[in-house]
Amino acid sequence: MMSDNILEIRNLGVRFRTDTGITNALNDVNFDVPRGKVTAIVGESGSGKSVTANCIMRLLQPPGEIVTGSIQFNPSRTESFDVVAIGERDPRIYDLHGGLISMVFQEPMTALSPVYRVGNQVAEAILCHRDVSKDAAMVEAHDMLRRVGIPDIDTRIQMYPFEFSGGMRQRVVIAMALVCNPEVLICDEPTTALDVTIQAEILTLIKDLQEELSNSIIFITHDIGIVAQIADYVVVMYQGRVLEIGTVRQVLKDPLHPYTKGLLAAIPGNVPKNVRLSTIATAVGDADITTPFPLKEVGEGRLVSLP
Amino acid sequence: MSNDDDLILKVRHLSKTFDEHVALRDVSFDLKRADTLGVVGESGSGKTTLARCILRAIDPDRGGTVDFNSDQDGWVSLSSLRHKELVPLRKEMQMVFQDPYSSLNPRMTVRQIIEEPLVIHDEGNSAERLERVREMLDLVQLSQDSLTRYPHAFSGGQRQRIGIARALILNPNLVVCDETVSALDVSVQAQIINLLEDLQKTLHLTYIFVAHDLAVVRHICNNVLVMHNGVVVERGDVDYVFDHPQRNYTRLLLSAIPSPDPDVRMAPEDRTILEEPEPVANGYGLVEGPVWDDDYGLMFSDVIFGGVYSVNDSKEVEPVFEHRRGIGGMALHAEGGLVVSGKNVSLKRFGETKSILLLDRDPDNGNVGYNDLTTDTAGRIYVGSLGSSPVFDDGLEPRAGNLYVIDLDGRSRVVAEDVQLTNGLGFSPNGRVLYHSDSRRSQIYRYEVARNGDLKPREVFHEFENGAPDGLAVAEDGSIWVANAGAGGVAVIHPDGNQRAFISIPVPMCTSVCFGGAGLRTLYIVSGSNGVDGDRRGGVYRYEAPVSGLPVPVAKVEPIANLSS
Ligand SMILES: Nc1ncnc2c1ncn2[C@@H]1O[C@H](COP(=O)(O)OP(=O)(O)OP(=O)(O)O)[C@@H](O)[C@H]1O
Ligand SMILES: Nc1ncnc2c1ncn2[C@@H]1O[C@H](COP(=O)(O)OP(=O)(O)OP(=O)(O)O)[C@@H](O)[C@H]1O
Ligand SMILES: [Mg+2]
Ligand SMILES: [Mg+2]
Repeated sequence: MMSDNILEIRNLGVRFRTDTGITNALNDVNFDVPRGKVTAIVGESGSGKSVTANCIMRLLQPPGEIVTGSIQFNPSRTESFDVVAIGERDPRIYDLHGGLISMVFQEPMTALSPVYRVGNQVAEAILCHRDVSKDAAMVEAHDMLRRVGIPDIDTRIQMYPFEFSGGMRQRVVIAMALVCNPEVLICDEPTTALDVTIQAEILTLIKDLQEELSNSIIFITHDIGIVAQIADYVVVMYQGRVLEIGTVRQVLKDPLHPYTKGLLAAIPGNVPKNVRLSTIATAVGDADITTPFPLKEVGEGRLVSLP
Repeated sequence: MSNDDDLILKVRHLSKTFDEHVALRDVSFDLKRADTLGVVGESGSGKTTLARCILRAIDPDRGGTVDFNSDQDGWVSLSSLRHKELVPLRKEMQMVFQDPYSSLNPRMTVRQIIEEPLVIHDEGNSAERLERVREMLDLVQLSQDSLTRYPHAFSGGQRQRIGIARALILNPNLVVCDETVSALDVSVQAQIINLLEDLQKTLHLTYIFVAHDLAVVRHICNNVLVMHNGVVVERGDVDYVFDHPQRNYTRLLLSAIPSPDPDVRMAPEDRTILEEPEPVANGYGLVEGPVWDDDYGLMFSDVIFGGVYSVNDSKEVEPVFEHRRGIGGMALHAEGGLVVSGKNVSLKRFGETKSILLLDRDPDNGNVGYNDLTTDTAGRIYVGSLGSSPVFDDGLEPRAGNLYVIDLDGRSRVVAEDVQLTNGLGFSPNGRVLYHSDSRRSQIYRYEVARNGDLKPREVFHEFENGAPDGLAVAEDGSIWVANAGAGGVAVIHPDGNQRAFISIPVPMCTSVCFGGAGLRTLYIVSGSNGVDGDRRGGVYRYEAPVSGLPVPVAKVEPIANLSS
């Protein structure tokens, strides 16, 4: 039977060895990514969100190295395997990058070439991974650009990325990420560089496409508002550790870990006017958030790192 | 002017043009001392340009004025001083920037960075300056051993504190924060916001706070300017503006904030729907029944004072028919004329005084008449009857009306019952769904339509929280544009039942809409005066819609009897 989780991350440890010493970027990270749902990873800057995503994609670069753990990947199209255990030249790495998992980053231009027309770039993404004719790829590219809401496609498909607004570029990147119908889509702060109104459009787009295509999404952000709007499940990270896991309502409405409580208390919209915002430090107070207590299950799928 | 004493800034008619591009257009406002003014708007709306023009970091266009109430010289005109004369005043006005990474010189130590404004203004000797820098470090809660370190050794939040220390070291009165907390995560952001608030209390600072995060603006500002395309589209008390946004653009911005409550769903409004409706005719009682004709232009009726009029592109109004009062709905007839509903439903040919009866008052129903009507693509007429209408206050028990169809052969039948207050009617683009407003119940019904014109049992398609649905029109993309009576505008409902946008008009009683003009791209919006005698606030507005309306309904029903007028 196929597992309900598309990804199962166990005891993942990552360290960076640099001139100034060793950084333990991830320590004993454990969480599942349920199939066909949106899982948000939330945490402050430096908490290890992007490093986790890079491990799943096997994109971690030296001086970073995975020192412990496993990432069990259960795609529906191929056999399950441990992403950490397979070798550099294992063909499954090619499958991984070749359409099983896609990634959308904060800055759309990192994924787009400035010198090729938008339509060709999307078609190229199809041709790279699938054995179809050039014409067929172009037709599909057209269709995908329509689905991500690019207006006036016949003209736009001939244009270069610099002729697009930031929001339009990010739509193109999402189109490229989706043409191979990935089983997992990882979005690492895909809207941070965008305006609120454009951000709202992109979030709606991702949510609508997810409902239509029912792929599994990992959504990385430090914005609790975005988490509330897009996620089904939430993983809270702090200093390379997972502190709390649950459904979006459980974590945001009934946080168990003092750090999560602090994170929520620091949002201006959650605090009456003229009341001082609590910083995480003040909200956490004397509570111990640095001792790495192992996650314990306090309900079905509800885990928290408390003594 | 003595009451100006508590003001710190008076800005009048400030504009800024870069080459041909107008980045700022005719901005005016007053700012009180120790207040915090938020400036919000999307990227490119002119927020930074406004801030820079005020501080004369760039020169505004001629004609605009900025007056500043300085400690040194009282009121001075910042906009007309020469750059040299501005230098001493700069001590009183400072700016903190967005990016904590690029706004600090990486080759300078923290001491040099914070101290630099004192050096520029030639204040104190080296020992005195160091003393001031140490005070500033305490103020922004950075440790004293930061002095000799370089910016790269600090986190984003710490760097932002360095920027604030530098901005405050000259004891300014006015501090402009341009997206000062935008790049920071919530934890650090909260520290900086608290710090700014504490400093405001102890140092009596006045802030202009530029930001795109409306939750942050609401938290720390008293007043707000909402900017769009270089224009201030709305301003006022921040709570009032955010709770009662008057402008579509403000609504759009507010609707785009993702709420941290998973039970409050984000419903971003359609950003193409931004322009304001333009008045084209006014001075009527209760305008209803708008219908577009390529020759006549927009035709409409005045329910209270009577008559049917047309208004053309140049806003010239002509009477089409002298007519009794009470025409609630109109549609074109294929034989050249209008189908009008009131006491009965009849056809009035253009240029003739006679009416031809299409559907008489329904005696079984004791109705006071008929209201909005529409036609299907075959040309059948759908029209609702008013039971005993609460609108006319006729003292009868409120009693439900029906929905009738008048078939092509002129015979009519009831296709739906129990309509409390029938109003707008419109078909979906494929003609298989009929939308129907029931104003009393504040609901829009949705009926599937059978081939013979019969309706399947209805479902509630949309329910209004504010006001009631009145006349409606459907666009090519299937969106339903509904006059929202009582709420002062038109709600745009998508075929999935969710409201996507709202277009305000200046009066609360919005009664009906129709598409017209070239390519049916103009939405005509009509309004009424709540039926108060003598009140003539009813009128017609037009609005460039981002989609075309469906073709104008045309009735092809055979007339069955003649009526004298
Ligand atoms: N190339 C690198 N060399 C050294 N340390 C690194 C490197 N990349 C990441 N790290 C460290 O790993 C930790 C986690 O970083 P990561 O980029 O995952 O944070 P993040 O949660 O994504 O933060 P942000 O919200 O700022 O993107 C940090 O302490 C960071 O300093
Ligand atoms: N120095 C300049 N030369 C030419 N055009 C400019 C210049 N500065 C700003 N503009 C233009 O003026 C308009 C307003 O820009 P401004 O920087 O004030 O926007 P903003 O509201 O601060 O946006 P953001 O939120 O992105 O900072 C934009 O169209 C911008 O391209
Ligand atoms: Mg990151
Ligand atoms: Mg700006």
